[in-house]
Amino acid sequence: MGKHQRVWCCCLTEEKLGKKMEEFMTALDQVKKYRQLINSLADFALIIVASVIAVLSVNIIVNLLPVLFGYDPIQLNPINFLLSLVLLLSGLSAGVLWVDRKIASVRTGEWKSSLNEGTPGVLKLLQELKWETIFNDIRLAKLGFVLYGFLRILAYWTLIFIPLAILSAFLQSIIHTSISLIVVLMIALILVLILNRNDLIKRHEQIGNLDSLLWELRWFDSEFRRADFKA
Amino acid sequence: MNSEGPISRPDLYVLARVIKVLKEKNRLNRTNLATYTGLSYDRLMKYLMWMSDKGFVQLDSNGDVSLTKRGAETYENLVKWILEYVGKVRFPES
Repeated sequence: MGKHQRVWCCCLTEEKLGKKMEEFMTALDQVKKYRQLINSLADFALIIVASVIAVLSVNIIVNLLPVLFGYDPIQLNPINFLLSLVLLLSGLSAGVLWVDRKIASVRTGEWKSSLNEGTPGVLKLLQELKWETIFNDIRLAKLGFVLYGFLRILAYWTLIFIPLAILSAFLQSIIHTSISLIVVLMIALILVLILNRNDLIKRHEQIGNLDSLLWELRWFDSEFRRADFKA
Repeated sequence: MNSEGPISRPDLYVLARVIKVLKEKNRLNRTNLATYTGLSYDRLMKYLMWMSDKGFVQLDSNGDVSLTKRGAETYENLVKWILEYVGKVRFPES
């Protein structure tokens, strides 16, 4: 191989290495974002619980109005329904926005300036990686990813169930046809699963990917530790 | 790393920086090499001694440093090694 050809090949390899390392660091940034999910979950759950408590409070107040002030309960039903819907939608939106904001606040791409140095920068990044923290983050990221998905399903389920339950009560008061609450719960769950089908599939795949990333990085770490600068 | 004694396990980042500069500039005197790599002269000298022992660089009596064929090949092998290993890792979708 001639000298020029050799230099050209080496530059290409270094360029490829830079690109691959960029993918690698982007994946680790993604893990950091998923890791942030778990920190935001308590807030998300609190926001949802607060909105459910608000809905229940409104229901109790609206149900007391006919007893205390003699309002017509049939006239109050649509107001109750609308208020519940607005409160639940607001709670869910606030929860999702809060989590998104928290995730967006994660600092990423801080490694880009090191990558501009080429191969030395790649080595610097690899040496500075705290592998045990990364492995721990991946494990927590998986948990956060699963829990967030579960909470989202639960939130949507509640969101769909309450209006359906109110609708069922409304139907019972108008046409005296009662639908069992369990049937309403099941209908709500089926609707949620259908609406979130793509998200569930993606979530399942990502968890598998995070799992394999964890194992591959463990293996890479042990190889990198053993590596020495040998000719 | 102990700054007084010789290098036992060198920093790969520093080695790669020295080799990269030498590859680009071909031959440099030690002072200029220290400037280009951003290393203190003393630290650079320790690395150059270690690299010279391993046959990666050649130091001449004028104080010039050049990369040997062995040094260039080692660097290329290191790049290929990392690429091979990092290349095997499959990443989750972002």
